Amino acid sequence: MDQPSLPTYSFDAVHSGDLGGGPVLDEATFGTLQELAGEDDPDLIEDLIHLFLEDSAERMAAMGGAIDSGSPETIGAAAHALKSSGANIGALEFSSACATLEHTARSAEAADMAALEGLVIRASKLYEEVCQALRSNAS
Amino acid sequence: MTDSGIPTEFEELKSSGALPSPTGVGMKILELTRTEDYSVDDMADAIMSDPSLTGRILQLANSASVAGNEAVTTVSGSIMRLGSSTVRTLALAFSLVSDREAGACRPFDYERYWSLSLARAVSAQILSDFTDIAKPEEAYICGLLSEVGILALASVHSTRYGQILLETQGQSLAALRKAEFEAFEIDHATVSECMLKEWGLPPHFSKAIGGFCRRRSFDPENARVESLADILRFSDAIGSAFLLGETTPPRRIVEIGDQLEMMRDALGMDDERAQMFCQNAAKQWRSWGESLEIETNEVSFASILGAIAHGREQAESEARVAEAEGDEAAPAADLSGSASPMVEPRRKTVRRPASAMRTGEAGTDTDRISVLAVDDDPVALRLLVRHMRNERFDVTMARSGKEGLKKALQEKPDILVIDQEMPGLSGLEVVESLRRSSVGSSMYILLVTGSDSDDLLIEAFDAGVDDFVPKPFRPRLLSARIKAGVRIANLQRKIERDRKTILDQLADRNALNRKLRTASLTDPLTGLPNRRHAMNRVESEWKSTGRTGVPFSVIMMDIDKFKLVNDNYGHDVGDDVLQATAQAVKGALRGEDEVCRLGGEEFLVICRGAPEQDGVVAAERIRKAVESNIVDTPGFNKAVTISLGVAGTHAGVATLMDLLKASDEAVYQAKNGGRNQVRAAGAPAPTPEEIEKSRRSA
Repeated sequence: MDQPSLPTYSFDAVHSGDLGGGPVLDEATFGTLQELAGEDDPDLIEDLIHLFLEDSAERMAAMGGAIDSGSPETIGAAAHALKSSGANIGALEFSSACATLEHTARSAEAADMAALEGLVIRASKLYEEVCQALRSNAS
Repeated sequence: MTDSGIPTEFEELKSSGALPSPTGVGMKILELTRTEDYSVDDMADAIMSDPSLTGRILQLANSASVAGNEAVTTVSGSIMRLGSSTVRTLALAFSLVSDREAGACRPFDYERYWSLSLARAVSAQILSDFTDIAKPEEAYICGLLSEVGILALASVHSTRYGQILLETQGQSLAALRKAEFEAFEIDHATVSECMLKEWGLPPHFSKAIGGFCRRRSFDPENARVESLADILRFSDAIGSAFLLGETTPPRRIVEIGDQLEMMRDALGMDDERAQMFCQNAAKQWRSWGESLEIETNEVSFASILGAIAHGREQAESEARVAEAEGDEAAPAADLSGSASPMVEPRRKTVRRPASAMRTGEAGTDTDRISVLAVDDDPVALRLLVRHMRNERFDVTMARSGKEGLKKALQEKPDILVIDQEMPGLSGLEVVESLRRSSVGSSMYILLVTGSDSDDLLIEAFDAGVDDFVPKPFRPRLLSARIKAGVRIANLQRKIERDRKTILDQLADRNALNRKLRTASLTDPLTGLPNRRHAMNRVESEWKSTGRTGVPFSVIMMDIDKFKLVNDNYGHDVGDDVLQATAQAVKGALRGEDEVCRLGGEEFLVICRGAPEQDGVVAAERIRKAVESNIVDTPGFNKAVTISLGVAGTHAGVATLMDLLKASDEAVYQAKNGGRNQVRAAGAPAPTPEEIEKSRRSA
């Protein structure tokens, strides 16, 4: 499919039905990033994708570990970071899943590890799809 | 043209309201002196309200080429020495220099402009002193203002003029003037002339500056230095030599070298003399630079000569290459004017044109604003840095709170952008620590936060955050907030600078006030209190006597035949006699008595709490002391005598004037009676009550 203004990126991917079915990556966000990069900084988007993939992998792993050790604080902190970096890269659905996760982990129901685990699993699924879409876009 | 001979194009520049104009005291003095009937005192008062201006005017009044024998320590003294019209112009010029912050025209190097102008000013001052062509202080002013038209065009048409400067960079000044004329229908030579007229400066100033702007080089056909414009031409060569840099085009270097040689020949100097001459100019340039806070640099004449020799070689080889290539437009062909000096990239003079055009509207010094971005999220950090670089900031980054705090303290950025949520030290903890340090207290701090809960925001303000940036970033909002930060950061810098100036000025002012106060109440020759102090004293004694009834006396005295001393031995001996007499009188006083010099050979002693009879006793003691005091000065070596008149307060003396008149009259009696004697005004003997009062007060 032709995207004349953003020739190298594809925004066709959507999340699977049970995750809401919305677009994996937000086109408008990329438009803004492209504009920001301008001619001075052609590598901006590539850089952001690599930085995100690297950083988020660590945080997702930390989140998984925190489920095992029962540490809602760690989950909250990781979700907070992923919420904003996800949004910055246009992974809006993933970002909002992290926001819910952060909120739950930091609220009074935090002791309910089962509920947290369900949310972490959902975020992980969204995350996989985000990674796939980003990797297929990154050259 | 309008009737006044001011072209309409200039009127248009003026109506923009952006022409450089004197501020503060400079303006006040201009207004004050627009009418003919201003007094020197009004002018001195206006100047003294600005201590740094006062200092600069005193500096010029006392500088070697202007000064007479004695140092001038007061503003009114300076006005006397320099003339009020010169002081007026100086005030104007200095206030222009001190208002040089505005820097809207980015390719224009304001620092270099003032640095070169100042070098021209001091060189012109020395040259005119040497040649006697103009008054040194007038030459100084013309040098300082010699290219004010360029400054004006840069201020009024900042963007367009910036482009012109870049386009004509490295070309002759004639080319610059041509481009100016094409763009604005007026060139900087005419603008300079008009501005000087506008400020009411004498016509020969505008003539000299106009002549200089239109032809920058001394004409070798002229064997002699004839005009103030010629002086400016040589001053320009000297100043440009001081500012020679690696990037000065060889063609310009050759020109400077030629001009300096012409100067040497036209002034009939040898090499050594010319060199000393320039070195002296450099010394004064540096000292004035310090006082006016204008950048200068070390000047080594040997390296200037080296640079000129090197420049000549280079220019020759360039010409050879051009010839070999059959290039008709050999660069050295056009020497009618000098290379445009304003954009000569001596330091970081010329900014990249792209950035100049793009961020031009952002305006104030953004390229020097430094930002530290702190975020543990690498994606956010990369984005932040991108944003900052778009605004042409100097950016450094840190990946954690701890690293951020360390870098903030080391690098002292103008703006700190810091993420709230980070492992270890959080953003707010960093801000709190910073605000407690002297470095961090004036930093502009933007907190990046994904939360907008009131509690957090309030906590953040308490911690000392200036503003927020929501996460994820919304680019336009982010740059708007950063711009707000830049405004504050610039303001902050200005405040810091002002604070320093104010402290300096306070120090200046205190020192000056002390000096002026002492000077205004002290007789410089004898060191005794002067007439003004004496009158203050008797007046307060008179009032106190009126309240308490305790009498006091005044002893008026006059050195006998003092005129003969001056006539026969000269004024130097006369001065010695006055000093010796002052000391003798002082030595004969009681503790509570005070002697003042009223002027000439006249002195007054005030005896507190003493009725006339006691005053007479004191007077007699003084008379004897003077009579036996040999004035030890070559060719004189003898004592002088004095005649004294004593008058004390009593019921019969109605006013202070009467008392002083009575003592004067008594002196007259003493003189008539054969000199060297004491006469009293003739107060009645004090009543027992008065004696009682005096005793109690003593």
